[in-house]
Amino acid sequence: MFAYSSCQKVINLKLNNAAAQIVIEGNVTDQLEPQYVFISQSVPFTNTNTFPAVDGAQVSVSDSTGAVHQFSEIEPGIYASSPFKGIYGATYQMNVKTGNNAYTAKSTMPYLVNLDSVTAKIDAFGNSNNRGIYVNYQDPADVANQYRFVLYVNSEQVSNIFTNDDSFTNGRYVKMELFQTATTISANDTVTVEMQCIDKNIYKYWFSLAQQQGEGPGGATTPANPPSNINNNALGYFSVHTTQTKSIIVY
Amino acid sequence: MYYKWLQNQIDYKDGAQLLLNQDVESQLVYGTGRAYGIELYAKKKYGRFNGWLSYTLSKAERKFAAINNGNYYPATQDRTHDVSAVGIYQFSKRWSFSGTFIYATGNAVTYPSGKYVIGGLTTFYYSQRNGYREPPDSRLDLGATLEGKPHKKYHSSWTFGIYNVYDHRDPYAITFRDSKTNPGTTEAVETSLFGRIPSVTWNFKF
Repeated sequence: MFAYSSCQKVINLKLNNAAAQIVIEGNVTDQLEPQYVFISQSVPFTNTNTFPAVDGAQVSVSDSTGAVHQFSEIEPGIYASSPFKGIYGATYQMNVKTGNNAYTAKSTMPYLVNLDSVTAKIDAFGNSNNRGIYVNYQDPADVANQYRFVLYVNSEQVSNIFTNDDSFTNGRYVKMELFQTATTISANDTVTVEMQCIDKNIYKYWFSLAQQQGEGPGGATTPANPPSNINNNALGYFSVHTTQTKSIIVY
Repeated sequence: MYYKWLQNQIDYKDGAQLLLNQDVESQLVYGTGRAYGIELYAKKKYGRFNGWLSYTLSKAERKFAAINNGNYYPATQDRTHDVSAVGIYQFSKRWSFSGTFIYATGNAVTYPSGKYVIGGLTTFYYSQRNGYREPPDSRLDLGATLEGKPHKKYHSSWTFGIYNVYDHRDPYAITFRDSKTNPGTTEAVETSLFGRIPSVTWNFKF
């Protein structure tokens, strides 16, 4: 009923322009490859979506044995290391210094949970052209697990954030739909899913961010910045996670 | 005039997880609040024209250690101004006219104060809980009643009404998103529900 009587329009709101905030996005994976840290700044809501890079920062990641991996700036705001891989169960610390400000964050590499397969099924509701995408994996019973999934359709990332934990499925075989309405997935599309095993803090981060995507009154909580594991009021996160990618062509 | 101290106020944590959560209590925070204000009311009871007028000036605030850096912030229902007026005019034995007007400050809400990019996705930056106001609510309703001719066994009347005469659109929700028509920018979208609604009622008593 609401669909018929409601109306939507784009409006102009007077929004405060908060001072630019630093945004740090650091990732270390379990693959032997260069690891990346991205540093940028926030902009006012009414600006275009161009986010200024923060260059000239000192970036490093150290592990619990004291070994330090230095990162160097390969493009403005993009810092890369020499190839190394995160060890399962080990905790890493990211150190970032820009000007007089220092930021640190810690994250632990979870043990790998294998992504068995990615499957597609015709949408049970209404649109028979659309396919639901499912991930299938065996959750281990002995530890608490958290997951994040990234979905690509024809190499384009779907804007939804997908997370799951094992509070209801501990030790079970999990078949979970990556439910999204942003894109219609039809026959012959190439669908790629990246599965990440993430630590608890990073799960909270992505989960909070995903909640704010809920459009409209049904899906939305009072919005707030997701809890960052970086100190000193930086936005963003430092995530040490496993990564595994599978692609299928939808039938 | 009143001043209230509120204790054991409950609100959700930032980023609370409520769905399918077996202990929802763990997603709550406890704090204090205060509410104060002044209420004025005038009524005309006699004569062909009667009605009342009320005005409230108030402030309701809440405070939680874990929200808004521990500072007071306006409660969602905080209404700085709230005006309502009702008038009824007895035009003749059979016709009477009535009108209702309300005006109230909009809800206190949280809007973004900036944006940034995470993993290629535009993400909004929030600086203050409930730091913004929705546009004010206001509405005028008009009605006319025609009493039926007196009859021994029954009594009837017709009421004609218009709800929201000047078609004011109160926001039901305001959402923020990447613009579809203008890529590379963001926009605020307002969803509203009811516009002007006419009504006709036939009342029957026996």
